Amino acid sequence: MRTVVLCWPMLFMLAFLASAQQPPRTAAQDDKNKKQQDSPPPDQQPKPLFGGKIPARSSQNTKESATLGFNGIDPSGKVDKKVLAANPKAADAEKVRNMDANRPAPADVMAFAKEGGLKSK
Amino acid sequence: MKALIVGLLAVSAASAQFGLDKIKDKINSTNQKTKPVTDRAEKAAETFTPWTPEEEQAIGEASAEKMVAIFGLTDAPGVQRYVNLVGSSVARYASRELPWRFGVLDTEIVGAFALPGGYIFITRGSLVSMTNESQLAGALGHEIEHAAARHLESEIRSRKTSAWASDEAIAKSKQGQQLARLHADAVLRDLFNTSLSRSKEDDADEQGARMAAECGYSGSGLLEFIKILSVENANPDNQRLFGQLLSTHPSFDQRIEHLSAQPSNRSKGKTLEARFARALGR
Repeated sequence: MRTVVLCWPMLFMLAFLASAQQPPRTAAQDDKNKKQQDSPPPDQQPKPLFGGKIPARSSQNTKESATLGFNGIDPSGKVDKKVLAANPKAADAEKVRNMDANRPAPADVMAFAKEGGLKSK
Repeated sequence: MKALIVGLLAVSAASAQFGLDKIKDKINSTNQKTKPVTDRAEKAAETFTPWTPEEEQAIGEASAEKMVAIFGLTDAPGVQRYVNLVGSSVARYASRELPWRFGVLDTEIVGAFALPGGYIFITRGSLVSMTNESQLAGALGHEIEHAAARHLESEIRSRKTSAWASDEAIAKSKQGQQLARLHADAVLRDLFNTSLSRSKEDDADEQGARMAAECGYSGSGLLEFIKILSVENANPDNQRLFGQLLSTHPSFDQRIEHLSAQPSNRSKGKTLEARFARALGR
């Protein structure tokens, strides 16, 4: 009985030493583990918009579904006649007006050509 | 006596009026007989009269609105700006000056479209397939030539499809924006459903490569791009992406053969892979 009582402090000491040898969990490691849990596996991660090979994902997924289901494109790949008959909305007209407003100035075109080593007309 | 004079004047006035009415009737009946002839003459004149610059812009704008309604524009301002800069650089060597506007359509299908008035669209699917800026320059050059040379307009007018003719007939009673919208419907219907003549497509390929080369790009960019598409098209999984392009253009093999023989193809210029990759976030 006395032997058992004397062993208790020894057991506590051993347990303390064992826990002290384990490296401490840092906040950075916690973040990394969380990110690994949150991010999808590599094959499910979104591809860059213009990178890789076709087909690339849509930037807004409104005109097309993300799964290669082309809304408005028939099975042969041609634009559906119903879609062709649709009338543009005010937002579409505004986007076209913005295209006009966002035309690069001649000076910007010259600078762009110069930067690329193209000919300056 | 006075009463007699007034009576005589009234009778002569009435007879004069009667005579005038007869003459008017005769003129009207002659007009009725000649109207179909003048209608035909007007129609023939319309067939060969190009749109005025104002009409071309209005029709182009209305067509662009429809195009954007169908596909949407890619939500990437940096890429839109970059494509505008490449396109505007190439367009400096176009055969006709227009207010050039370039847009990236948000669709995976491969293609590019030229609308009247200098509206040029390229699809996101096309950009994904490209590997350098000279390929983009060549593809935009092809479309720039279509718009500069009014290829679509002249094709529509020379063919005068029944749908187009009926639109023209309706259009006679319409003005301004309504008229432009009617024309826009016909423009897009033709753009998506009918092909331009082989000579117009060959011309667009030749001139597109020429413009890119004169601008300082490698003259073989367009040829390289078509070769890439030819390889991708061989994959059965990609067939749907090329349906629109191949239904309205000569085969890739025909285009490769034609472009390979062009002198611009031998012009050594810039390809700018790094700038292209940077702009597209690769």
